[in-house]
Order: sequence, then structure tokens, then C-alpha cells
Amino acid sequence: MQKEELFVTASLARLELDEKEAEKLNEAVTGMIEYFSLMDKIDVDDLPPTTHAAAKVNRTRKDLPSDISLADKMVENAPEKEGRFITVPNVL
Amino acid sequence: MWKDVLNNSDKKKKYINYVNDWEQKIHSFLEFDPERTSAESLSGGGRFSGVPYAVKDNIAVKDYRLTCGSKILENFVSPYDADVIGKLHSSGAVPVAKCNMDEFGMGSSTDNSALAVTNNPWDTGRVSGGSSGGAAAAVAAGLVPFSLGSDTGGSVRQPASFCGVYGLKPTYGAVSRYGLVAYASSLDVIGVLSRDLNLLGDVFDMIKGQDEKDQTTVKLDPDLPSDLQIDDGKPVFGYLGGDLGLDKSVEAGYRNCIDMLIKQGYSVKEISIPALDYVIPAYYTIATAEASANLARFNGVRYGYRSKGAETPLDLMKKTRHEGFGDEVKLRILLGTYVLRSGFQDRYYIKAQKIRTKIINDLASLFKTIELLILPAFPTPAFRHGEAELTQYQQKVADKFTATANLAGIPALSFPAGVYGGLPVGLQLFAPHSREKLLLKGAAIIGREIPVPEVPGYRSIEDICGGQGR
Repeated sequence: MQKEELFVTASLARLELDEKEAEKLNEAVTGMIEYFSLMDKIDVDDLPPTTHAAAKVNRTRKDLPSDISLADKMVENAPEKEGRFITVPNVL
Repeated sequence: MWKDVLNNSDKKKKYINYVNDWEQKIHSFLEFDPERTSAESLSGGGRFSGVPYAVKDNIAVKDYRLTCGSKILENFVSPYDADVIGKLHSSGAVPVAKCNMDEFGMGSSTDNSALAVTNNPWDTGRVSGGSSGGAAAAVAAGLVPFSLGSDTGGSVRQPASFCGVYGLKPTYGAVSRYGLVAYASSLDVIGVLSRDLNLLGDVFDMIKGQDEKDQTTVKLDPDLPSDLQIDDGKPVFGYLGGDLGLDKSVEAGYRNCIDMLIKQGYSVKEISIPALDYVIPAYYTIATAEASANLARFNGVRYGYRSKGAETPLDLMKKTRHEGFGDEVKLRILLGTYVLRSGFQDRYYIKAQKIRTKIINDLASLFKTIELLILPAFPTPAFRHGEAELTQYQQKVADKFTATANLAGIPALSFPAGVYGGLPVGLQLFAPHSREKLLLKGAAIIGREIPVPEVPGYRSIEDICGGQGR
């Protein structure tokens, strides 16, 4: 794979790469992609794709309120906050 | 007895000493605290009342960290219990430890953990397998009677085989994934590791079942009549023939098990899985694609590690992920993102899903002629730390025997098959969808002739608590 392609993919994955790791990862990713091309050799055109190991019916649950609230504990885990607001760098 | 360990201070002291002695050598736990979940708070008269157990660190236990072996979640404390933990609470069992693992379940050695190095109790220069390496090492050393792991492509069964214990990967959907940090959602399942096959079966019975918080959970078929007649009748075994590229000790264990069954009068048929060579490319395509989506949430915004000094939200996410993830996780995120990129989906992801259908069909037709399939768990016994014996790439290719069951969604169990050159060898059994009982009976038949090995230094809980304290 071209290095440029790797950086496009990394950007789509929201992942910064430094030059040194890009070198190493490019080799590993390219090796695996080449290995994936082994799949070209098997003819499975007539088969439907399996999207799920046990997809039978779509099971839903009722949308009911619960008195268990994890909100405070969730906010506690935030890396930076002001009061109960989670902060991020300026968007604009 | 495990039941008395935590509520008798003398016994508890002896137990903690035993754990600490082993932990200096193997480092299977990221946290160990027999006091954190008070046994009194749990149901008193339950089936496992007071029995301690350990949990892989990608399964949520309230008030314990949930690190997934990653720097990005190093200080994350879980505010709630996974469904499996809630079910075990109601049985009275007490979680006492969180186990080391390959970062986000990605690896075969536990060396991909960002937080600790776990050693194999049989030889501390070797890995305990992965990704549930801590959970397997702890059980083998007798630190807990059972542990919970997760299995996406073999992560319960391969470490179980490296450490000489049983490891069950249930049918996909048999156990709720609520509270399991997702790696590849269509493949992930929570499993059980133990030296005791009956206990393993009891724990599985306790944790299985439909959960409204996980819509992929299925109701297992009730036990089929044939499951209950194994003691009288004899199940038909199949085994994978041909040159499987096994290390000679695994080959010896494999042959020995098959020969033993033949000698005992079981019908044993040689079979093949036509699409076996395509399992690994299909598995890694599907697993990395799903992982790239599942791991998008770790971006430093709402929880976990956050990079300092980023100037925009996007910059914050990119830097956090750059600094917070290890190499193997980055590799798999990149691969998964690549195979899902527009223009490449048909060639990789859709093709892999069609191969998955082929594997499911291959196994379904096999199970018309046999009831249980025996195959290796991994081509080698436990390898040395680092990549000198097996590179990361070779480790991936070696997952083909285990990942087959994940693609098909069927239950699989790895079982100890003897000790060769001082290291345990493990093999696997596959059974049709929702036939865990049959799987356990098959393992029991084999276990009568090939018992669970004891690692040097192992002591039973009766011995630990009955012996002189220090």
C-alpha cells in the first residue's frame, strides 16, 4: 500500500501517526491486505453474506423509564469538566 | 473448600499469601482485592455462596477498573456490573480480581497489554496465551476456581490450552454481552475457564440466558434427548485429518487423544473442512471491520485518557488515539477502516461474509455425520515472550482452528490433552449450535482417560487453607 493511502485511512480512523510508526504499520497493514487477497481464490458468489451468527428476528424491548441513573458516575469518568459539563477545545 | 475462604480470617490470610506468592511470578491480575465486593452484600444461600472468581478486564465489575489492558482506559472505573456479574452475584460468587489481557482482546499472548506482562505458570519465560491470558494463568495456578474471559477468535480457548485448563466458548448469543467492552460484536462471546469441568458447566448454566439489554441473546434449545444419553450411548467423534502443520508435541497430543477414543470403542471419523484455509482472511476482515467501528468511541472526549494541548476537538481525538492505543490496536483499526472504505467493501467485507456462510454450511453438513468434532486449539504449545518464536503475523494465521467456531457461532471447548516436554497441550471440541451439554459430555469422556494436569507449585484450596499459616 502507498504511504499516502495509509495516511488517508488513518485520517478516516481519527488516528494520528508519526513517521516512524507509519513505516512499521504500513508494512504490517500491507502484509495483511495481501493475505486477504487469498479470498479471491474461493468462489462463493452464489452464497448470501452472513451478517450475524444468530440473526433470526429483531428483538426489541419496551422503552420504559428506569429509576437507575448512572449519569453522575458517568460524568465522574470524564477527563475534563466544568460542573456537570464535559469540556472540549473550542469548536470554532 | 472455596466457599469458606472469604468468610474465615485465618483461611483468607492463607489464601491471600498463596495468591501473592504466585502473582510475583505470573502477574495474572491487574487488580486483586478480596474485600472490594463484600460477600455479605450478595445473596447468602446461593449455589456459589462465598466462592471467589476472577474476571477478564474487558468485563464490567462495579467499582473495579475496566482497562481492557489499554492505556486509554487505564483509570476508567466501571459504574455498573455486566449482566454476567449480576447473575453470578445472585449465586453468591464474589469477584476478587480483574485479569490481564491483550489490549482490547487483540492478540494471542497477553504481551499486547499496555499495563503488565503475564507469564505462563508452567514456564515464566513463556506467554500464557491470549487474549484471556491472565484469566487462564490464574485458574491454572489455583488462584481462583474459575474465571470469566471473552472469545472473539479463540481468546478463551487458546490461553486455556497454553495453561492446561478447560476453556468454554459458548454458542454466540447464549450469554449476554451487556457490560462486555465490544471488540467484534458479531463474534464476541463471554466464556468460562476452569480446571473443573463440572464447575465450568455450572457457571455456564448460571450466566447463560436471554437478556433484554442484549438483543442478540438467544434462548438455547432445551437439552436434546441425545445429550442426556451419552453415558449409555457413544457419541460419534470426527477429527480433522491431513497435514495440519502442528508442532510435534501438539501432534502427539492430538494423535494420542484420537487413538485413545478408538481404543475405548468410540466411532471416530476423519473429516475435513473444505473452506478452512479461508477462515483467517475472512475472520480478520470481519473482526477488524467491526473493531474499527466499535473502538471509535475511545477518543478522549467523554472518558478515558485525553491528550494534552490539542487545539480542536478533531485534533484532540487524533492525538488521544495516537498516544492511547498500542501498535496492534492501531494495526487492526487501520485494517478495518481500509476494508470498509468505499470501493473496497465488495472485495473484502462482503466476500468475507460470504465465506462465513460457506463455513457455516460446511460445518452444518459435517454435523450430519458426526456429533462432536475434535481439532487442535493452536498449532503450538505456549511460546516464548516476544516474537522470536512466533511473529504477530504467524500468531494470527495460527488462529484458524479457533476462529472457525466464532465465524459459525457454534459452541467450542478447549480441554487439556497431556503434558509434553513440560508444557501442557490443549485440543478443542466443536458441537452444533446450542449443544453445550454435548460438548461437556464429550470432554468428560476424554477427561476420564486424560486428566487435567497440575502445574508444579499448584495447591488445592483445601491444602492452602488447611496448611500451616505464615
